[in-house]
Amino acid sequence: MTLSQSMFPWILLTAAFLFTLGALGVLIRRNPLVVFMCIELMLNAVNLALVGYSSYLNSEEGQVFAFMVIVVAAAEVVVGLGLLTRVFSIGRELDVDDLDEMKQ
Amino acid sequence: MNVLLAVILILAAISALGVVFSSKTIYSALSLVLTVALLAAVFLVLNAQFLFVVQLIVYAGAVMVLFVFIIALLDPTAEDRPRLFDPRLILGVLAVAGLCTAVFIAARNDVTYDTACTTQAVTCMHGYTVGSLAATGDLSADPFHTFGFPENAVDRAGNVQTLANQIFHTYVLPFEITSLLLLVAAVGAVYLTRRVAVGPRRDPQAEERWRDELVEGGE
Amino acid sequence: MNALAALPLATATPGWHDLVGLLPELIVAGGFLALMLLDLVVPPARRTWLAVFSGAVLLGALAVSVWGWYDAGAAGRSVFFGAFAYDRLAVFGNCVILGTSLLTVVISPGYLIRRKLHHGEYYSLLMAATVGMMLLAGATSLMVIFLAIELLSISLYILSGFSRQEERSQEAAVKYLLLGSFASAFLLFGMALVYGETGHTQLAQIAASMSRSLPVDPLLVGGIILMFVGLAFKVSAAPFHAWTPDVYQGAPTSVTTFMSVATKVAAFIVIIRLFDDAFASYYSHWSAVVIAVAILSMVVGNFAALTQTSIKRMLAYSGIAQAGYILIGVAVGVGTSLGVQGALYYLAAYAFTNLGAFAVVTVMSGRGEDLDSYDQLRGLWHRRPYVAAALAFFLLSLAGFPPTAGFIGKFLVFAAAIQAHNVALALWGIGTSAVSVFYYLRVTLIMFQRPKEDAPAYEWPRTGVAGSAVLLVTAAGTLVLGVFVVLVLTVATMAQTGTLPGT
Repeated sequence: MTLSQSMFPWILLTAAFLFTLGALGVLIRRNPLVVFMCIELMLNAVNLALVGYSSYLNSEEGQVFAFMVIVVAAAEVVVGLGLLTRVFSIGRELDVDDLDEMKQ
Repeated sequence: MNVLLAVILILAAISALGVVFSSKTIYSALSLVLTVALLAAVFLVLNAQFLFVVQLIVYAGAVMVLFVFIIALLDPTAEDRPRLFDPRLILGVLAVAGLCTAVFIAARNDVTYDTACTTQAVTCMHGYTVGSLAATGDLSADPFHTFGFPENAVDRAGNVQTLANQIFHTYVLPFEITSLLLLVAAVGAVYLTRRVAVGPRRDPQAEERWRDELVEGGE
Repeated sequence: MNALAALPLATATPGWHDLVGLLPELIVAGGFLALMLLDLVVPPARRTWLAVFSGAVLLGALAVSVWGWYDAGAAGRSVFFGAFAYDRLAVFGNCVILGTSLLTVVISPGYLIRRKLHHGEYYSLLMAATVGMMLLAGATSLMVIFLAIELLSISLYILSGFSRQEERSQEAAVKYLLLGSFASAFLLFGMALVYGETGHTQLAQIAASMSRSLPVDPLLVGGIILMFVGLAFKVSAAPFHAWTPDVYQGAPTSVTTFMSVATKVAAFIVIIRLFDDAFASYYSHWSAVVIAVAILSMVVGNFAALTQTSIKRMLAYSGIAQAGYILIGVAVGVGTSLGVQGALYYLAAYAFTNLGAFAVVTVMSGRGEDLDSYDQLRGLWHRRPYVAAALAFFLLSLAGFPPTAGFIGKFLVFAAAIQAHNVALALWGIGTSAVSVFYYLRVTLIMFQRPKEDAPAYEWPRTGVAGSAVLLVTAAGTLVLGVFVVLVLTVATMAQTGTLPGT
């Protein structure tokens, strides 16, 4: 049971769509948690592209790479959420535009 | 199989829209869980069983649970209207559409693009030598005719043993770096969240108000 | 039977040969692990021991790196199956990064004690960031590049937010984290496209795939440009510089000192490896983007620095401009040999000079808050003449006056641009350098002014032995690089030959 090769552009299209959508989300959303989730969406899009290519090219490198990306994303989330809980402690509105302590 | 893959991809795209455009943080998070799970299904269809499991356990499991937990801790009822009709949004949507079309056209052209494929021993993909197969000489199946892994190579790439073999031999250096990375993340998380005597911005009144609202909401 | 028997399993196992090539990184990584354990044993009052220990580890790694210069030889070799280069470019980068890290460790205890930030995690995270940068300098595989960048970035995110009591520091960390992960995603998507279109993650094989004379692959061009965007963020080149002033200002000054220099060195070495070697056959497709970013960085950095009133923000914008000058060398590095040499020379010069300038700010930061606004520098010459003279010297070097390192660096990259028949690029550089003189001299003049009678003078702390030593070393380095040009240029030339060693 194999897939038709003509499916590959659609996989790459979905990856590009998820990636650009994530980038759009980073730019238009103000809640730092949602911004962070949009970044995760972008990383997932990358993984889709990597696995799609790996399958298309018949090489394992893409899958090893995608595995590393998942590990890094997990590490980034741990540090990121740790920081966000400190900065936006209870009672403060969640808004990245509030991070303007240093604007002159 | 083609239809299945197409359906999953479309569903993933729709739920990704939910991440960016839902007004409640928690809905965004749940949409992301759905997207992640659907992408895991794509990995399974593409014969990447190991990544399918890792994606479900690490991403949909650990990472997203952490997200939902933090949302519940910080601001469970936060509403954040995405700025519709903002010029930035319209510009962004146009950029998304344009870039996706460009990538799609480029990818389509790629597939029909094998011109310089001359030697028998080298499999060509739009002219380039393809990955590790060319190196190992395992070319009994031409990836041109079967997308996804050829029958005899099914055990190779998606397979856990093959991937483990690669990770612990050829890619041992990147793998070891990830161990260092996780250690740093653990040290950092402990340092950042450890209690300090004087908090940076702890407004006792706001905290009280928040508690009151929570109690009222519960009644 | 056993399905595995039919599989062509990889049997490549790393040997001593591979470990020797990674020795400096392994020493620092070992130091990182040891520091975490030592932190539990050493009593809080004696945390300076941790700094001494990290200094010793870094010094050891530096010595091994210098030995590696001869051991690797002119050709260098590839270790860990094409993932890592043990060559003179990597050793050059390692030496600059280790030197920066060492000098940062020397000035840290005094600063951390004054700011009440003296915690053991500081040194371990500094070591982790150093390992990430060293790995980045030698990385020859997309995976190692990505992981090394993440290792150094995550350590630096935490270090930027190291001052937990201070809101500015926390904000800086959040901004750096959100924008940094955003940029990493771009880098990663670019890598996915490059991998997909060439079929490899090892740079040598990517270069081989790309050098085939085939019609241009648009997705590959897109991938290269996305990778450049991700890396341009790390070197804080405009228009990807928005985080730089805020993070440099908000982070503890000793951390800013370290990251403003070492991150840039590591990222530029990987940019040189990627663009001037691996992607060289696509030169005509990426050069326009790099040139545009270089010009934009020079213009934005220099003009925005004019209006600053905070020394840390000014140095941040100046760093953006300096990234633009180094990018000139990268942009013309394929056609000319002088391009990469100039960029490497500029990197060494920038390392000493900028480290010195930030070290002055770190050493002069008092108990209450960081030295930051220009007013706090007023009259420094009358109270601390040597420190003021050192800062003036560093600023003159950043502006590019002879006989300093900055002058030679600028001269070399502009000469490279002219050699590549891109006179316009050199003129942009010269013009923006002329603008930069204004804001560097403004700070210098403020130091020589008499303090106002009514305004309370900033309480500059005593320089101390450690601080004086660092200022002396950086000033000497800036002078040596400005006078003994041939010596360092020989090193840069040797480092530049063969940036992708074969196996």
